[in-house]
Amino acid sequence: MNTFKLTINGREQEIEADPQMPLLWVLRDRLGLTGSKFGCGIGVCGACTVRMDGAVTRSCVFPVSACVGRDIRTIEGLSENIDHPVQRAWIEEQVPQCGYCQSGMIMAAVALLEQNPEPSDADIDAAMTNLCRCGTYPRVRRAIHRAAQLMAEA
Amino acid sequence: MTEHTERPWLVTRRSILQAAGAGTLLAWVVPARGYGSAAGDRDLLLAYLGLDADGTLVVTTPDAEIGQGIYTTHALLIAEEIGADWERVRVVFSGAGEIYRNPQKNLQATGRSMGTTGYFRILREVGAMARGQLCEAAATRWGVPAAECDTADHQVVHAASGRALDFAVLAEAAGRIAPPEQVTLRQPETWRFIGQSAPRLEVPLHASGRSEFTVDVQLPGMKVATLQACPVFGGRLARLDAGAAERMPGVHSVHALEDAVAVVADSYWEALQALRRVQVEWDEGEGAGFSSEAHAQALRALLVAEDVETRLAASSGDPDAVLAAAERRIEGIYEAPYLAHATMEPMSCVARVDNGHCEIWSGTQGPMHARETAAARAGVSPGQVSVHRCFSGGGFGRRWQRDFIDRAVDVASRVPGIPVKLIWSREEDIRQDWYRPAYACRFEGSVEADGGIAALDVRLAGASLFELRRPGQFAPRPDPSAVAGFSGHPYRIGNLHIDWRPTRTPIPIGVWRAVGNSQNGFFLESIIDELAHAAGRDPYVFRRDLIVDDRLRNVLVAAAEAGDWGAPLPEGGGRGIALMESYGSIVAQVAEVTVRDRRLKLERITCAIDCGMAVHPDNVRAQMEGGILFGLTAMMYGVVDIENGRVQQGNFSDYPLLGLRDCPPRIDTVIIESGEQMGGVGEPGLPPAAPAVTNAIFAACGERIRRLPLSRQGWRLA
Repeated sequence: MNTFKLTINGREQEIEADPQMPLLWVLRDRLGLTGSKFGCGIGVCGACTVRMDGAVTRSCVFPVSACVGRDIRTIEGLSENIDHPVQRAWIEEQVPQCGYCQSGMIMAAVALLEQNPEPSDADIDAAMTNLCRCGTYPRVRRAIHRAAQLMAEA
Repeated sequence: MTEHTERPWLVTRRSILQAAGAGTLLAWVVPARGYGSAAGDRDLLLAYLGLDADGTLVVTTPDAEIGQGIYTTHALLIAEEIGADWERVRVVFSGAGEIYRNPQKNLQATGRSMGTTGYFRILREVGAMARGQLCEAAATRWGVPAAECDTADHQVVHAASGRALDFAVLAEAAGRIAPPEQVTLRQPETWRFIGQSAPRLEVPLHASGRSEFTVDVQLPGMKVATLQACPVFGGRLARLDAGAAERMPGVHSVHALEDAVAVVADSYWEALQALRRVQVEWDEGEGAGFSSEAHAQALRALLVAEDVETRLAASSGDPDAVLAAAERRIEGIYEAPYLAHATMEPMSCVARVDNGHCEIWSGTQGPMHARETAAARAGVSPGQVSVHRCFSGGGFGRRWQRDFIDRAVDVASRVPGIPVKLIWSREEDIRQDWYRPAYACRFEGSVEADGGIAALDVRLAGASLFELRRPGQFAPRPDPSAVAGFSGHPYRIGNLHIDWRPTRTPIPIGVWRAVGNSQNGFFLESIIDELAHAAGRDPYVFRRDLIVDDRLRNVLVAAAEAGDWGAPLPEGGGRGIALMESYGSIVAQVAEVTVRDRRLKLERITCAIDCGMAVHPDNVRAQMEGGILFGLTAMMYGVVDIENGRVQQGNFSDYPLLGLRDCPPRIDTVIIESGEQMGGVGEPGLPPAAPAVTNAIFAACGERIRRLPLSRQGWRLA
């Protein structure tokens, strides 16, 4: 076990873990931040998506030792009142069904919109590789376009 | 006859209270945390609703929220009758209990698309009872007749005097009033929630990561566990060496279960690392000889075998004679493989066993049998089991099973007093499922000179789902799930034979979204398409002319019109259509595809549904979208292979799902408000999806798809 200082949602936190422990389990089982989900454990489904220095990161395969000194952002840090433009768009378009993949989906959408404030359908298709079993994809597309509008108006 | 056209609107509530085990005094100012199982059996009204001190309406849903939106639907039914302000409604999950039984199936269970239809009446009655109490409380205060009062926007109003009082002010007094002997349900013309699409209450929770799934449960002193079961179904644990694993950091203990090994640790990851170091030997048993390929071969053989058990599903005229005399017969064999559910949240359950008590936290689809099975495993009486329910990260029938509860209680029993959160790895989730059974279907048919179906002979072969516990239960009739869709097919066919040939499988099989309809929709609607082309007719017109029932025909026509059937297509383009009735709803879909060198582009799906009445139209659309994409994932990729008794797939890398980029740019849904009896919406969107697309592929390139998934037939998505 080693001690690591992590900056999560702007707050510095100290945890003890094996250096190889994936960030996802540090968040969930050490820090009680359960918004990021476990879906596959091999970085394929994206339910565990967080942002690290802005970049989309699959936290289930990202070792904690590589997180030190990085700016880690999770769904919990997106907004206090569920009013980030992407969340507002998600609510307007009534995207979720079971909801399990949605934290990761939203974090990926936030990252996409920061890089590309006016994504085309093709841009969205290329960037959004998160899996959803319920079939929310049509609404995810619509919500990202809507969020782009909301962000442009802000 | 539909509920909403029933008369009179006056209902007595006596039947309700008897069902509830009676209780009279209602103190329904609920504690801030709401209530669940503790208050569950006091009486029905208390079981289903309450008011927080600030007047927030707290609705208790007896169903699992597995993505079907029942969380919102149940709330809106009560909100409608009580006259709530939607901003002041929240929902909690019930515990397990007889009081929460779905009146349509006399069981508290989420499945068969009955969450809305089953509770449609009872929840409105409960809301109306509470409205009566609130009105009486206000009337007493104002000195006016209660009959002159009504509710709206969380207030009781007395129109004659222009007075109004908030529910928060009246809650305590209303709770002391005996519920009214009779209630009058609101007239459909006055509905403010039913038939509208109020923002779903679970959506902000999901959009903020705050919804609590089983895997998110946190309890003081809790440990996290994971496990590996014998990879061969029916096998046993023969030998375990846990020495190295037990010494690993963060590990609490390693446990030998009858057919599995589990590690309890401080975190899932530490448990998983230790599990990988455990040395196990399995006694694999007879299951080790099983191969899904050999099983598929056996099913094909059954289709043409003589002297095997056959159970007749439908029979009319003399199909043998007509087929024998036919100038041209068409025939073919259709096949559908084993499928896993692959819910996004892997199987999981939290359990604590201590001093004759057992508590579980779970997104189970069957709270009552979860309670039973937990009691049996923990060796306590069912009355000593508390069931706490969480959001379910997908269900699709998988969370109807008990195994994930059994496993958690087994582990928790070995560490008394410690709450254990057991999370299966994705690999375990895929390899230890209750699979959609593999099925095969053979048909032989001929068409009439005037373009109808002259004769059709259909044989289905596969293992029984509903006779798992009692083989032969339905004999001489077929297992209804085996012939679903075929037995009540909508077409005029004078000479018809449909039978089912049961077989057995050592593989655990279970209900999978739309159950038998999931493969039979593909079989039936492909066969009808083949017959249409054999008759040289447009497959839409062919169906339209052969459908006996107006209601079904209207749905088909609506889909064809909205889907621009007959409009010009680009090169390589094709359209297909399919129709299927399931769970009381009728769904037709038109698929538009482009095909080139076995590369498939899904361009557009148009869906029409008649579910009688759409209680929440936007959610009906969402369920259609979801059902379609679930069906198309199965069509494109879904297959579980079993060799030497072992499931070969294990994660989304080899059991892929459709991704966002694969999703058709357009999925449009038309809702037909027929006013007929209400049906479900969680499952009926799925069955027509695959055949609509494979029929479109045929239209585009002339290749008839008779075996799923497409990825095994050399097809890829463009």
